[in-house]
Amino acid sequence: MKQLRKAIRVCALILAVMVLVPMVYGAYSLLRYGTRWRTSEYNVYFTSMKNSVIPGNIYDRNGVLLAATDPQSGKRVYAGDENVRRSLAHAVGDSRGTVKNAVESFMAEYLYGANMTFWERMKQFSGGALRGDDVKLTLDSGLSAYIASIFPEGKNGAVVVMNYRTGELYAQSSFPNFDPAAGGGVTVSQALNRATRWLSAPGSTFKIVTLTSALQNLADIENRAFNCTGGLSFGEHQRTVTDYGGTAHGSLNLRKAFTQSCNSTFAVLAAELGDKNLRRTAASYGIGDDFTFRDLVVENSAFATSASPLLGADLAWTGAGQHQLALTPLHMCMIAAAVANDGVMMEPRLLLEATSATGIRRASFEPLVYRTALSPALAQTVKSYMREVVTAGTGTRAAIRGLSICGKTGTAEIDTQDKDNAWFVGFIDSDDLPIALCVVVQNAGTGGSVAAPIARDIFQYVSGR
Amino acid sequence: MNIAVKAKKRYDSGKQPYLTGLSMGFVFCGFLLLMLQKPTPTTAIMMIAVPLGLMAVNSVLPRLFPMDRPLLGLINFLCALGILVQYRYSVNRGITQCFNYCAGLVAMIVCALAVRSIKNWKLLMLPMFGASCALLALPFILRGANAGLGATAWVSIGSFGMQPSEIVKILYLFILAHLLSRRRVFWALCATGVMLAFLVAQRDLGTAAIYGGTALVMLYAATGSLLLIGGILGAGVGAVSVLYMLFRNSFFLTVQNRINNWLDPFATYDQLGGGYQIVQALIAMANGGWWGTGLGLGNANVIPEFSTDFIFSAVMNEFGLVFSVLILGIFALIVLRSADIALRSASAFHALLALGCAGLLAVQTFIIIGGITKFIPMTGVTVPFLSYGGTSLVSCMAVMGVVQGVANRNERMLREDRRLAGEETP
Repeated sequence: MKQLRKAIRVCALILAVMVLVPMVYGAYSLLRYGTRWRTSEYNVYFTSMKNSVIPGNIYDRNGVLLAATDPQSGKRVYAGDENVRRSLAHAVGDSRGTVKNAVESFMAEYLYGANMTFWERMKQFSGGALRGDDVKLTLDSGLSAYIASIFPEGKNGAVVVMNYRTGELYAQSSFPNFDPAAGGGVTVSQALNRATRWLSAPGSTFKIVTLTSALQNLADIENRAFNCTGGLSFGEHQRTVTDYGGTAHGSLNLRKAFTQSCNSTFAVLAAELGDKNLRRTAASYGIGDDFTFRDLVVENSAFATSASPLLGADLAWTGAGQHQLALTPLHMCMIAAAVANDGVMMEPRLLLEATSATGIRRASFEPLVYRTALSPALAQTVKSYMREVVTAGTGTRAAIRGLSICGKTGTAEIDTQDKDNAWFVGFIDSDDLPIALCVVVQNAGTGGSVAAPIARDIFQYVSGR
Repeated sequence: MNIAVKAKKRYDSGKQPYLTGLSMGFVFCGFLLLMLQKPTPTTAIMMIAVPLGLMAVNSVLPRLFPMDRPLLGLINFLCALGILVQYRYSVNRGITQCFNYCAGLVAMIVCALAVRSIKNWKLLMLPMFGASCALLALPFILRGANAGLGATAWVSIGSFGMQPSEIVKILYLFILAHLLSRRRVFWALCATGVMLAFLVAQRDLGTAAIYGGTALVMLYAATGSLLLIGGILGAGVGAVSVLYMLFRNSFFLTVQNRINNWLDPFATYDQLGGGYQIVQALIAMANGGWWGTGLGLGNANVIPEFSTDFIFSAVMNEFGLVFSVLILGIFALIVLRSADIALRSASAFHALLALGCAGLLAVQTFIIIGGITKFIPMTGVTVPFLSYGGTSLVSCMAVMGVVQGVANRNERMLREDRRLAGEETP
């Protein structure tokens, strides 16, 4: 009996804790994912609130009206200029929820005034109707419309422009876009937000990560000489990593390999680093993170489809930005921004401020540090490499006289397409214009010839030259 | 004698006026809120009748039949909350739940009386086991008649439907407690194996997990051997792998489906039998937040089966996370009180019986709350005392009746002891 009593005490304790554990987990996941669940397109609670609350207006950073509710019909109306409407369709979304997790649904908490106090409700109620909060975004409608006007006609892709010091997103465009005011007839391809929800191999732009890892882990790597013959074989099956167009770059150092985007050299680097080191550096850049940003939903990036170590040609190709790597244009922009911001990666933000109809400031912008990707000294080195890409490498078409532009081109090979995806990530190295961007044009050609000129135009627009 | 008096003091925790008063106040306020939103005569009647009924049961029942008052009070509070939440979404369900509760009370008293008065359990074991097997086989026998109903765990006769496994639960507790109190570990394992085989064949995995979990708790208490528990868990994993090999393309497709729904319910949202239910439960939880939307203002009724398996999502939706944690604290208190009653029992059989009841309740709560908060894969079992449905409520009340019976026996033994002690010392 004595032993039985002791066992009963143990069991009772375990059982009592067991009853409470699921709820503790529930509280944890509510803190972490609550906003995502609440603003999911499957939540009918807000839909039902539409009958009792007039959703607030949406403005861009300069106060341009992007979306409002027509008091007569109760319908949602969008910006007057069609170019503005189309260029911001993915960021702002529409009331039908065509684009998943766009501002119209993701910020429903503000727009439908979920944080109203009892007294505010009473006060507003006596005035006739309940009004949600007005939301001011960090986006610039002029810049967005300009990007839409220079983006190659008929091509798919995405452009992200952000302030690398604060994380404010100035533009977040996806192509093809659609007109939210037209209503209906939007294809799946048009509804996809390619800036945040489209995962793809980033091509040579990923060499920023491989370069960081090499500088971190391999001693005296900057003084080593490499020899490029246009292709190298790896692993048991002797699969090859080839350079773009089979070009042999000859004898070169790390700096030249980066500026000329030499695949062979980066394949050698990846093989020498090994899966563990490269994966660790990628993780420090946020690859593999479960992104739960406050203002927007971004698809999680992946280093490879499984956690088992990559070997041979798989690892080598990963070092050159191919294989199973999957990143969003926004994340690639964040990686460039981290280099620009002395190694500190800022959280991308979309909300400048939210104000209630009664004038109460509900939320206002504050820069948030997401994570430290690399040390400031290392960031300086990587920055100097990226500067040389634009001055004397593959990215010369992004150069603007008088501006210190840094960047990296990428040409991602996709098996199912006849042409490559053109990538360019870069930034202006200046305290007055802390702008980072990422340009992707799908099925278009090389990053240096297609994406870099678009980046130059955007830099030019932003700097007012 | 001193010891007996001390024990008596700690044991009889008085009439619990605060517990009764708080429960009454809570239910009254709840119905009052519903009344303010939509005044109907029925709501007015419920607003008065439910708190009064609560008071009557809490104060009158222990006078007629000695019961553990704190346990009774906690159970009644949960049942009243269940009635309130059911009534809020459907008047009919709320009223039916009141009748279910009355049936549950009867079951509770019957079970308590049985535990109190039956002395020779050995004679009953074989008939009990036979009856359990017959009841569990019933869905298979009647399957022809029930074709098209989908769930194979249900039996319906006319308009009356029931789940035999809910009734077998109680018989199973007696069988296991009897065998284990006599150290018949092997036979206990055999009995468990037979029951689990029936349940798995009915695809009622949630109930199978409850039976298995309860058996583990009782086995550990009876033997005190972690080695045995480890061995059984190992054998269980082995058995599951063998079953997986055999039924990879039939039975385990459903299991795989459930695991997928658990890992990422949003990904399988649009599929048939996909994550729709769990997603809506999570959204209901998120809409509620810390303090809830308020009674009558939520929309948990978008979740399929919100009144039974997902009733706790409705509670989290309207009452919020903080309140829900407190409610689970009440479940934990019921478990602890039952274990306390087990500790005071003089015989191993009754101790194991009461602990088994506590284990059953705890495992069932864990499985369903874990399921709706996405802590573990969802298996459809009811929330004790809160879910709508006669069988579920009656069986939970009956299980608590068993504990009350043990408490009653303890009380009698104590009185006996004191009488003897009083006679011996002048």
